[in-house]
Amino acid sequence: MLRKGILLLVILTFVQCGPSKPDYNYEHTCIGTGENGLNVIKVFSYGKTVAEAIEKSKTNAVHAVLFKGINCAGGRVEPPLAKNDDAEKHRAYFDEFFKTKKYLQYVTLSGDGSVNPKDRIKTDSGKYKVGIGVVVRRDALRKKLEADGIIRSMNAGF
Amino acid sequence: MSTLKKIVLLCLFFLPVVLSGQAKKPILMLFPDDNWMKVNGFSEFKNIDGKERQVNNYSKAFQSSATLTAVTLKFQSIFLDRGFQVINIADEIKRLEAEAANDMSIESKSGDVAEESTRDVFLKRARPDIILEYGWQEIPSGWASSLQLNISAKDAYSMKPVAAVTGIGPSADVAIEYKIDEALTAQLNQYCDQMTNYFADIMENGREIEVAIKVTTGNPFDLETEFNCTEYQLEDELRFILEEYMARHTVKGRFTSRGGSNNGISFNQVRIPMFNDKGRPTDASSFGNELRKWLKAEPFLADARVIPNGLGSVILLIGK
Repeated sequence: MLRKGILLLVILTFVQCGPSKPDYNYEHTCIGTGENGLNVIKVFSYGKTVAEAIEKSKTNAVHAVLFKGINCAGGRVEPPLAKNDDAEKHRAYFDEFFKTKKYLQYVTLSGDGSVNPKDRIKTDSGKYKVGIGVVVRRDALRKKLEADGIIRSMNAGF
Repeated sequence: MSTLKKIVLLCLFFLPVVLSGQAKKPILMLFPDDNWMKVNGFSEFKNIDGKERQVNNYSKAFQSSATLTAVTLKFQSIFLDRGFQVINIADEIKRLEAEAANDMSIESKSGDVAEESTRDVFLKRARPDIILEYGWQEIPSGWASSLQLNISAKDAYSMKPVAAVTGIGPSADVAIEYKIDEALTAQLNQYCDQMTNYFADIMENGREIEVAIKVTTGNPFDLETEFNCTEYQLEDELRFILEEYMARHTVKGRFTSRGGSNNGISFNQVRIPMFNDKGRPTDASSFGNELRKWLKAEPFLADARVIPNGLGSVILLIGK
């Protein structure tokens, strides 16, 4: 009985500490225009802890630049890098891209990574909703996807 | 032959193919737009062929406006980075002015430097795929001012709009170069996305041109004369045989016949392949020339002349 209890405890510990799957449940908005080739986005993500929500914001920011696009002030839209059919056609590539954390090369937290107290909300379900500024190296990401043949470069075919 | 030798020979065989594939880049030509030229006093209106036309003095604009040069260089660096061959009109003006042979092209009848015709000369020489036009204006608001930036791109062949963005940046009291840089950065991705979609379309569906075919009055036959075209196994009036030719020589058979008469027919939205079988870019003139050669053979034996009208339009005149 004791052995079964210990085994259950070990399993539960691993479930708790293991990498959380990206759920892409987030909200995002354009913060402003960064330097050429960068997207600066404020991302609100959910996590059991603040740290987890912050970590998810990086994944979600790259996801937004890749698939959702970004709405900015004045009705301006930063279009997503990958079109719908690119995303479907290269599902395995993108799964691998996020799973192996390659995306981390293209994303950093804006500023010192501290969270404004107003952007840290504890939800009714006990999770944290955290908003933080994230910088995505859009041009570098685009070039990587073009080089890997995932998205079409502007001069493709010439 | 050893395996190593075979591999080396294979590499040598494919090397030119690889190199030629790398050498080809879409050509983009940069022009300040007509509105910017007018507002900044670099254009005048002249009566040409009974119509009031705006004539831009690009040389004067580039000599007088350091901001224009800075913005043009910024555009140049952006599109070079995206794999384009960019033709800066300022460099082209210098090159053109250095070539004495072009004097007659840039001088109008009155002896003035007619920059509008200079633009045509540029287009003919450079054969760009895309013409990019840009302009900006400052909008004062209190102590500071905001900036409106307009960028548009046209297909140099069909003159159809490819991409266009406009945006007003935030009000700030900084040098105009900073504002332009910020506005450009803000609009760029949307603009490039539109251009990428356009290129994907012309790669798949062909470049769009217009073709007009006319028959001179003294010609022994006209478009309603019947021929037996064995190649197409078609015995019909020439205009219907020409429609068959268009269907067979356009990408996915795409063209629109605009109708016509016994001595003239025109086709628009004619989608021609981007490159010929030798890998060279095609244009309306080369398409017209192929048609001319085809009409010269049996059963038509027609004498025809190709009259290019810009990169994207051609007139084929049948008869002497």
